[in-house]
Amino acid sequence: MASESEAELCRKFAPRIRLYGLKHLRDEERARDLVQSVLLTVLVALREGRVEDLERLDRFVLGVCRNLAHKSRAADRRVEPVAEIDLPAPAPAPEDPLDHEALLRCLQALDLRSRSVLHLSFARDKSADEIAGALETTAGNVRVIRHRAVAQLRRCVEGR
Amino acid sequence: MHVGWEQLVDYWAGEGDLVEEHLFECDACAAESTRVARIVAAMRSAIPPVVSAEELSALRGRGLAIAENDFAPGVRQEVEFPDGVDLLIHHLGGLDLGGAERVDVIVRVESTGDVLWTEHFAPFDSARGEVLIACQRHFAFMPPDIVFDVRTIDGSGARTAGTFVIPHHFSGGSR
Repeated sequence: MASESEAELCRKFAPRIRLYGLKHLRDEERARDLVQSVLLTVLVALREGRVEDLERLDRFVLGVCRNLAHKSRAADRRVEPVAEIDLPAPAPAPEDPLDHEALLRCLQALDLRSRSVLHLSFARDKSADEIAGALETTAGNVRVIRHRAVAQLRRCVEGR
Repeated sequence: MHVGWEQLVDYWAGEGDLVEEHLFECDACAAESTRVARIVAAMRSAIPPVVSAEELSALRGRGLAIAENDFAPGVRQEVEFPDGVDLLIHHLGGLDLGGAERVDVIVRVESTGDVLWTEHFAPFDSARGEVLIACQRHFAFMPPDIVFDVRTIDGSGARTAGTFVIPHHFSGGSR
């Protein structure tokens, strides 16, 4: 694969791998390590002709993500690089994180129940069923509150 | 066909990994997922109002300037958030938390009774009979006359394990 094609592949998949890492490893540093390791693994596999279906490269990348994230979780440590090659495109810098005071101001605009649902869902990792039990409502209602609250927060923090 | 907002939020809340393949294929959905992720990451990295001993240890490891105070239930005790301190930890002690399946901490205003926050599933140490409040400087906008009610929930129902009246003073003219 030409280096420009490899660079394009890195530009396309790096943000998605980072998101996968944030979701499953819950840490920006570990997510960035995952980006490096997954891209290196994929590039080596491509160069060695081990990717059978190039039309479904996205699924191959996702599979590598799952494998390496699983290893990272099992070992409870950061993912280590698997190959000593340079990436043709630098990993993207993480987005500017939301300012916590801005987040708090936007959260204060939500009603108490919505704030509780967001906190329990994302900071305490409680399921919709667990939250429903604590708030004396249904899991379906918890999901509706959550969808609306995240949308409202998004509008607030994006200044819309 | 794109992933809907509801599915994306559920995905980031740990429900429905089935959308994951699509997020790797679709530019528009990946971009939308990034917006949800930004909010989720901020929620996760914010210091919660009630912390566990492990979370407190991690906060110390981050190099935060932390001051700690002990409180007993039923004893009115004022507290000052001094300059140069990032975090004030209130040790709400003297609590009988044995047998508690869940602990909720209700934060209310003494003068009005308004409930500012309820921390459901609050971390607690039943052996020490303690709950740790992480008071943060940006809480200065809240009313100063704060009361914490610690409530335990077990198979027989809910009961108040202790009430702590803690008027707050923030240095630097915040209040």
